[in-house]
Amino acid sequence: MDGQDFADRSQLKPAVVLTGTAKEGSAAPPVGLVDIGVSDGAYLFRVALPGVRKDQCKVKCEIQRDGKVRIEGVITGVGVPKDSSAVFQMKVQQLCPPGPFSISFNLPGPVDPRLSSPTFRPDGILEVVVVKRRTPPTDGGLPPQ
Amino acid sequence: MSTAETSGHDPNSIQQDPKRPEETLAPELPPDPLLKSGTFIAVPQDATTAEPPPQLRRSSDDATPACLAAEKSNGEAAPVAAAPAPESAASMAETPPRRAPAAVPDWLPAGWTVEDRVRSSGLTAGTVDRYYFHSVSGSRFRSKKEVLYFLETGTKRQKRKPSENSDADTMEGSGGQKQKKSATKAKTFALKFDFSNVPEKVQWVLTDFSKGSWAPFTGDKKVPQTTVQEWEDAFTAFSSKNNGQKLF
Repeated sequence: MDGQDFADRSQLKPAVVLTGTAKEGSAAPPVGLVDIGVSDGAYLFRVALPGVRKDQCKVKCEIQRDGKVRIEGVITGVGVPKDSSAVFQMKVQQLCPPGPFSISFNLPGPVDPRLSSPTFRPDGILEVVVVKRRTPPTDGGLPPQ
Repeated sequence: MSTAETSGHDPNSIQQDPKRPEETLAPELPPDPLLKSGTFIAVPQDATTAEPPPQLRRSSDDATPACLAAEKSNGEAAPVAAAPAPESAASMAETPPRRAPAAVPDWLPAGWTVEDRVRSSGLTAGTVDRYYFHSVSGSRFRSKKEVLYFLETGTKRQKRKPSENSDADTMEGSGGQKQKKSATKAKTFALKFDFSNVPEKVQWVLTDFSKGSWAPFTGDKKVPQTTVQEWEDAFTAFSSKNNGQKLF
């Protein structure tokens, strides 16, 4: 298993695809920065989602068994401060503008998408541990690469 | 005041490490008012204490000069081992918890220390308790399992079931033996889980933002709660299994 190698390489060249508003807010604390970590049995990834409000974001995290991850959500309420009814017209808009976004990337290897524990941390980081796919010796499946 | 062979470097002395918090849950506790920093209590070898001779903590910085408070007050350079009589030593020190040698295990990363403490009273006196200390956070852990959980998640493990408590008790003795037990436990968990039929994909949706709960969907259907529970069990089993036992 060359998980470590992958981690090294991915630090050089993160293959992350951003769409929607995540792609546009370039001067902002960027939505969609990704960390990927590897342990013996699992992968960890963290995705920066600054400005994504937990209560309105409709965050979904789709994990495929080949290790593909796609995170979707919506950035809302830019002109409406939290706990306020007043609406502001934005004069400067550097944070991610409102709208839907998606973030896609690949984990270093196949995973079992059932064995996952997503957490949306209060600091705006989505943190997910997902267990590597276990290939039973009997069925001669894919090597756990 | 007996001047004796208990020199400052006697390895059989209990050393009070000034940097060592008494209770790591409150790392900034003031030092023992009766003992000045850098002071230690020398225990004569023939003392009646039945405990095994404690050794110096592995990871303590030896830079601490083992100077005696009496040495300073005397102003004499005499080979002072101002070791008070055992009785007065005991009363003066309120004897710090007995800390026995602790070999730092291989799996423990840098920045951690291990201590084996001997219970000095009660029905279970003589029992050795192993503690792991994380020097950065000052957190204390009772088992390898807890340490590994902390290393992985950065948080301390919540006790879920009363049965978890039994982990602590099985730590008695040589400390390294309980992994076998927890591994078997984890295995039985995992066996209920069908590892071969991995679905193509699972979508996790943040359902309750205040509780931070996520609901899995396969296809467009929400996964039934019983299944989710099985998944969670398997995941938990995996996490505990991660304790160096590579069953995956």
